[in-house]
Amino acid sequence: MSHMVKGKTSFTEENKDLLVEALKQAYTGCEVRLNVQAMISGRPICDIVVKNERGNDVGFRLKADGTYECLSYNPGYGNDQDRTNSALKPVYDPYNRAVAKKMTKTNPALAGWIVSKTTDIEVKGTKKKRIRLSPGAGGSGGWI
Amino acid sequence: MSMPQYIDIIFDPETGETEIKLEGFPDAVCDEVAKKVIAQLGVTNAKVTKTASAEGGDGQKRTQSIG
Repeated sequence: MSHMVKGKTSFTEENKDLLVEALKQAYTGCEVRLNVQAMISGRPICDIVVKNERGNDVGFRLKADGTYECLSYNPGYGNDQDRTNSALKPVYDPYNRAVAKKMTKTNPALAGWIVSKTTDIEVKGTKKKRIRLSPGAGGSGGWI
Repeated sequence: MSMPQYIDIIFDPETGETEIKLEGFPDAVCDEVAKKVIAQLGVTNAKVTKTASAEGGDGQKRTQSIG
């Protein structure tokens, strides 16, 4: 039976603007709206909703611990965790890159640092992605 | 010769599970930067492990943390 799926994320309220931008990049062509009803089972009101014209919406609701939970739709087959992973998969890279860039702007120790292009790496046989922050040509930033 | 200095954000593209690796920071600074990076990425339950700590020729310590 189709149902709504809830999944944990590490996206924080502090980075809400970055999350909204990351969602716009991840779901190209979809509208991202705030404080509206998500068109998935249960029609929940969410803080952030990706309005998907070609499928079901993806919603994000703020939890008491300051992180967002992800609400998505399971049509009745497949694993709930896979549904959440599938909804979040395109968001990780733009979100992490945006947070990395924010770090270089808000952390004095990382002033002047640059955020390199995301690269594919392998860690203990598992494919991962790496975003590297390093001192820019102008210097190594300051110690805290 | 100075140590290379960088922060790596390593994540699983399927699950989003994130690790943070810091290289080339003196011990005290490494801890402080690691805390801030973990907080900003929202990986609040991250475990920080020091995998190396060595005196460099310039008197600075090299450390590496994984969150």
